[in-house]
Amino acid sequence: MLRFAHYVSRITPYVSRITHHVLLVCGLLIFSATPLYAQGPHRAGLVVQFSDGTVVTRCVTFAEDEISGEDVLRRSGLTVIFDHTSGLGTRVCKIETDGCDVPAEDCWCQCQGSPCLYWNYFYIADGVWRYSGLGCGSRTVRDGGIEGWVWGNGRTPPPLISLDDICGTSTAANTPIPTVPAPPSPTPLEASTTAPPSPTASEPGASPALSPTALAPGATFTPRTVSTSGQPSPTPPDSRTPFNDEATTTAPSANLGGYAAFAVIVLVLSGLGLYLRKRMS
Amino acid sequence: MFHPIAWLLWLGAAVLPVMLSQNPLYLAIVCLAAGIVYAVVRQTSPLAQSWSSFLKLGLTLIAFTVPLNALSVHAGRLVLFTLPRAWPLVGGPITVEAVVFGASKALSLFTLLLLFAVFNCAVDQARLLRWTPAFLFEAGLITSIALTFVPQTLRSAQEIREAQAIRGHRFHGVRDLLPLFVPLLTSGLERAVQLAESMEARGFGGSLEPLNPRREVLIKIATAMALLGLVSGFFTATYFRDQQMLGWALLTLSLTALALVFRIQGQRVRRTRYRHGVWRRRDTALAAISVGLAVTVFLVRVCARTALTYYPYPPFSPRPPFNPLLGSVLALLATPAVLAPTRREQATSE
Repeated sequence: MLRFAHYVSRITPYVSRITHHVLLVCGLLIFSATPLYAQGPHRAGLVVQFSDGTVVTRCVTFAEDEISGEDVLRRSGLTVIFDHTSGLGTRVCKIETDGCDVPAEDCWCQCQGSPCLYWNYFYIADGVWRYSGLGCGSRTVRDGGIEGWVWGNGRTPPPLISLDDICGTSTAANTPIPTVPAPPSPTPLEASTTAPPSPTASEPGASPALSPTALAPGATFTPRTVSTSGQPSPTPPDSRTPFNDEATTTAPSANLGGYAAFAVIVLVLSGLGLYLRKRMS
Repeated sequence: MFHPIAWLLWLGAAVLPVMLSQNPLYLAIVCLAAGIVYAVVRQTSPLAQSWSSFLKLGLTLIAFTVPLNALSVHAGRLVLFTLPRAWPLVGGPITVEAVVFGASKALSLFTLLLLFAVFNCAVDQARLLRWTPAFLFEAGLITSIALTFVPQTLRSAQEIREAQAIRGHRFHGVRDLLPLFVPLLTSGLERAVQLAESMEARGFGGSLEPLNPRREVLIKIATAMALLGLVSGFFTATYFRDQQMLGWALLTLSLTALALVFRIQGQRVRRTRYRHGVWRRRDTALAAISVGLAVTVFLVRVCARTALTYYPYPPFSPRPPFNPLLGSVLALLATPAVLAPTRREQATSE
């Protein structure tokens, strides 16, 4: 007992010093993570181009210093299906009506051969669209960033739109979200003016609820803002309903029955194991 | 205990749901059933000791997969705690969903390990190798030589070590290993020469019926063409979506050609058996149950894919769905433990 007390008294200074260091490091980390002063609402633009060439834009406001590209999609109000099962990042499988239903289908159900169609991820840097080398979960978006998603083969960026066109010149938060028809493309974007060749999309005629305007070659830019904030989002496909959260919360009895059956099966198997063990010995 | 072919069918039927499903409840049933079979099988197997320690090592998988998935996936509604976003990769909310999914991944890995432990303990490799097809007999022979090579080498290394220790040699550093390696190498070479001589004495290679040279060239060309067709057909069917019919046609055609060539090659080999494997009634039962189970799981996968999948992240619930019928079908994987003969039966039969 005495030796133990002696031991404790000997290591106490070291422990306190280590604790001090750890607290210092933690404090530095927290200090670096939080901004000195809140800079009001930040804005990020989101441009989504569907399989039939329609373009939908969204303005996302956020209070944090930076958010991930995944957060931009989540906060846009669009119906997006992600896939997190790989454990190494997030895949975007479906936006509104274009894409694949996970887990009923593979996330890249239309990219299993030579016509490879998936949601391409772009961002604007130095006034040009660039194909993102990072996934949407890893890329950080700061104030004024513009994110682009195109259902295609990765070669066609969305039309070039400025943040003011997406969010409006007023900086007030929560303005009606506008939908802007695409402007005639500047030089780096010639490919985008030609409407993408209608691929083997499962559902043509994407998202009627979003009142989109089709891209026509040589369309003139008219900054027409259409308020879509009150529009109901399209209903999720039927294949999701069996495991939907609402379905499980409203009818827990069905699931409870399944779990009771699971318990019975486990009990029977365990009993069998015990019986066999007895027979063996 | 059972015929190797029956065990092979059981292994296939057990691995199929583990590969197709991530649902932790189905995985738990398969794991439990395999555990019961393992408890029965290990009592008669000489390999059980090493496999048991290997399985214990496999349990540590959980210590890796669960934190990895929880730290790298930041999706889900049930947030446990939040790490600062500025931390690369791990920053963000740590959710129950990610922990649960990591645990189910670990469970599937461990179940696979357990299934192969059962198979390796239950089936004698030599008995299994006897079932290599006739046209592959050379590959089967090479495999059996390779399988006996490692234990033989280990045994002779032990013997040499003991002999040198008796002579007063002590193994301390790397340099002391030379008196161990030189006799090991010479004894290995000696054994190889001995094996070659004994194979020649038994007329190895003489059992092949000779072909006329023109036919042999024809068979070689046909094999190459069929293999080429197999590869290109598979590529066409999976890569070019609009040419799938052509790909499948090419695939079936080349598979038929390959089967024909193998049949011709196999007929040239005359095989004699010293010990015949006995196919008992319980082997038939196990094979039938295994095939039925595999077909059921395959049909469920084709017809209702969502019944097997498990996706805990929103918009779905982290609570896994469970179909009692499918669960009880999977519980049938414990059949070998029930049908296995007791020790008294085994003693009377052998």
